[in-house]
Amino acid sequence: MGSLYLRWRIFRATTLEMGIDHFGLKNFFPGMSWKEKMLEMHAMWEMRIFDALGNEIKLDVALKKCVDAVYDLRERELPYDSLLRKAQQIMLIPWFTPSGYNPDQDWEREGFLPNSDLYREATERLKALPKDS
Amino acid sequence: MQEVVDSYARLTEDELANLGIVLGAYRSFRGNRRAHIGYVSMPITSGRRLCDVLCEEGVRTVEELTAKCGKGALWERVMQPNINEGIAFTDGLGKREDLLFIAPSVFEAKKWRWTQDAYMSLWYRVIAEMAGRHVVMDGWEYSNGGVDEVLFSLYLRWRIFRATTLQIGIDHFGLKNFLPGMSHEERWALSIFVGAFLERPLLRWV
Repeated sequence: MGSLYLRWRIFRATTLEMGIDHFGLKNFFPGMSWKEKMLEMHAMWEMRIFDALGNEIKLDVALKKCVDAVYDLRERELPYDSLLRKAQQIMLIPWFTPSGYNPDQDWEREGFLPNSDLYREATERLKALPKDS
Repeated sequence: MQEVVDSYARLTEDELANLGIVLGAYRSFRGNRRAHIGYVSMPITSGRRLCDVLCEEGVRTVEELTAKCGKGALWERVMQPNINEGIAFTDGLGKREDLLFIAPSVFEAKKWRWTQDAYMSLWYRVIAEMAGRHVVMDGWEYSNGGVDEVLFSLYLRWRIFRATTLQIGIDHFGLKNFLPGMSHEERWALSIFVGAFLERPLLRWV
């Protein structure tokens, strides 16, 4: 079973633990049973982000926006290190997900679109930037 | 992400206690909250307006702005207009859509002397526990908090936070102190490697 858990990537570095560490979610879902927590998580995964006009902001759009802003800040000679790091985190999200290592994953079918041209272009532009402003 | 990790660690006991009280008030809303509540990301202390003001004054940071234009400059030229704009935007959304929208700029805990870290901890939890929709104002990508909140919602959307995790390894297989001394990135890289390594033999097996 342990190996199957590894195979199915049940043990993941990017997990609720990450939520606790990175976003201060300690004592998240207090007083809930395991089953209730699972249901809550499924509901959480339905989160959608929209812009002011009501268009959904998926990962590739979010990444492009952040990369554009980094370039803008750089051009205006303002500090951009913090935003650059956050854009890198957004870029890496597909790698934190189950089967994220698999380049053949059909993310477009899944509705996530990280393999879109937008994602690829934004990634290339991000990688081309110097790390420090 | 180190700054986010550190920011939570910096919360004082008072802030944590107050955070619990505020969250308790939110949690008193029962029923299908996510279907009826949206969270609105809005710049408050930063955003595109701050960048424009910095450029106008020929300075690079808030500290330089304060030194040049005085202590009230950030409030008058950035925060106050940001807050007003955020509230007006949220009110407009409320008229357009039959939902409740949370405008974070309305809530202020000056009396409790809350730090930026305390506010962010509150809003992450509100997003995760209450909201089914996350709306961002134009220019969100220039706001430190706005980008963090979008990153957070993307983590939710991409199921990064999962109940079936390393914690199961600890609970079920006694893997406490697993991969000690490794950074998060190293552990992540190893988990991918182990998964890929085991793929073939197990595929034959199952």
